[in-house]
Amino acid sequence: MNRKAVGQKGEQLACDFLKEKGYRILDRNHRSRLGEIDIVCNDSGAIVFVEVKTRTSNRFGLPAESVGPQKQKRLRRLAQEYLITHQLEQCDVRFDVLSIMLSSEPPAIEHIYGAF
Amino acid sequence: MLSTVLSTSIFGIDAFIVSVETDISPGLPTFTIVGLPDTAVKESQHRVQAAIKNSGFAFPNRRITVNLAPADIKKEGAAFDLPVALGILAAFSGLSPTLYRNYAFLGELSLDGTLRPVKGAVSMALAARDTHLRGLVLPVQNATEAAMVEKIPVYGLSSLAQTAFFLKGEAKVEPCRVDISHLFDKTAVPQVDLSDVQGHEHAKRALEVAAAGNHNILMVGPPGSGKTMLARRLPTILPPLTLEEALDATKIHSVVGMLSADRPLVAVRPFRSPHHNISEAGMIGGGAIPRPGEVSLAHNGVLFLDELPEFRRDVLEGMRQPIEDGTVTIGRAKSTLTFPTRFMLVCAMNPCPCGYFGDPHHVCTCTPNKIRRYRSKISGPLLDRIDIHIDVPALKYKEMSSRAPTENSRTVAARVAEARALQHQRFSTGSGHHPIYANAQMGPRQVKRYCQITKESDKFLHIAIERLGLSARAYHRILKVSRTIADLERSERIEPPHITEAVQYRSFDRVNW
Repeated sequence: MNRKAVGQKGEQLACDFLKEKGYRILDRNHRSRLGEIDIVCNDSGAIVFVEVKTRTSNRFGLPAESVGPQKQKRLRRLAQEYLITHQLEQCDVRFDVLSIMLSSEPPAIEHIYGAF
Repeated sequence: MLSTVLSTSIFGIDAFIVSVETDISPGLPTFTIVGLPDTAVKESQHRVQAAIKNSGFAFPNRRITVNLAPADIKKEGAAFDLPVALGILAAFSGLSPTLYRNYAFLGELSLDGTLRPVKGAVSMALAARDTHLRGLVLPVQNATEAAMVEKIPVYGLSSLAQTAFFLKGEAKVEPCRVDISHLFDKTAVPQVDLSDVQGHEHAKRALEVAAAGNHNILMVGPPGSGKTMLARRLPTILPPLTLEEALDATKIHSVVGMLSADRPLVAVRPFRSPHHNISEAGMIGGGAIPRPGEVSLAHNGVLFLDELPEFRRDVLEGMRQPIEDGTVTIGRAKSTLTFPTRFMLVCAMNPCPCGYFGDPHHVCTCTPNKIRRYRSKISGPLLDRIDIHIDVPALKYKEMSSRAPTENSRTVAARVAEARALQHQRFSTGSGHHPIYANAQMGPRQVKRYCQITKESDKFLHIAIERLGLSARAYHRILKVSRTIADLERSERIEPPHITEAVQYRSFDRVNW
């Protein structure tokens, strides 16, 4: 499986996972010149920006560890832009991280609620 | 959603009221604190966030802005944790402002929501009282200390959750009460006594005279002769602290965080003995926002400088003005503050670098030049402010092994108090705007007026000065000290024996060494 396929598979798993939890998916792979947001969804009124990290092994550290300060800062800016363009500024906002490990069967999904 | 919670912050040794305004609005989750916070205040956001969550409340995932007003004074310390946390809870949950209005809150939060003690609770309670607040809420460890301030209810609480329940009226907390006079009596028991010292009758007498006139004193002697031991017992023969003096000292000690829950009041005269490597800022007070130094911590007590020549020159010279004025003014770019420094200076030193000059049992290995250099480290102007110089020689075996009962502190203290009462009477009339409270404070004019000596005494003094080669400076000191000696004997006039004794307390002025 190449890198792209791993990412896409993870994101698909993440969407199913969130839907099952009752989140409404608003957008997937939202792109702008600032970068990309994996999933934007609505958790009973609160806008949740989800970063999905998929790994096939632990060899390079846990998936969630790779969301460092730099990435957090980028996601905040992206979120800001998204909120403005969609006129959602009055909503509560949250950032979640979904870390997905494909090496186990079924894949292990960890939901980090309000990650930063 | 907005809330305003009151708190206080320290500036120098006084506190001022700070209003902590919290606004929570929708948007990206952020947490900003504005209003000149220092690092400890900025970091408070992390403690507050964890404390709120771990106390079982929800932390709002919104845009939080906290403003500390007035915005132009730097806010220090971790005492804002509690008011910030309450502000967030109030703004988020819509707690009615009537529940927390007119209370001031202080306290550092630990991550689990328990409250940790803060510095300067006494000053903060005073500020809260002077602005007529309804009460002061602070960590339970600080409660006794703050409760000494009267006319303001003080509530000592142990956690953020307890505070929230208390405000909602779900938990009942009684204001902390202390019986100051009881506390004062209980803590005012000195640990040492003058009778612990065997021998050294001459030095003890000199200490008595020094205590009676509030004269600064310098003890010169070989190592191990008992200078430090004597100095430590000086506070026990000084007149007891008045309640007012005790509260003054307590305030200063509270600001630097030197009080504890079991010892909330400075009830015995402070005895400060800084090591000689102390910096000028440590001694005089200093910092970007000045904090009191050793001279202020010794306020209403004794400042003991052991190994006087080892102290840095700038430190010693910086002490001249505090000794003279009883206050020190520290000017920095950001602020200028004045601290009280009314202390008695007690110094000890060896007669020479090796320590054994003039000792009958040891040979001094110092060259005369070395000795001169050693002594010249103490400047004339500083020496000028020390009225009494005495030698504390090494004890003979018979003296140190003696079991003979010696006078205890209480007997000596009674005589000292009597002499002080005389002086108080003398100076209570017509002292200018520098109030004089003891003989040591007399200026040249008062010396002229109150130190009238008999003809006989005058003749004697004349001989002494000529023979011993004493200076004009020494002349004035001798007059002042002999006034105190006369006071101790309740004698109106200064008689020859008083002069003789006073002349003995000038060992440093004698030209023969």
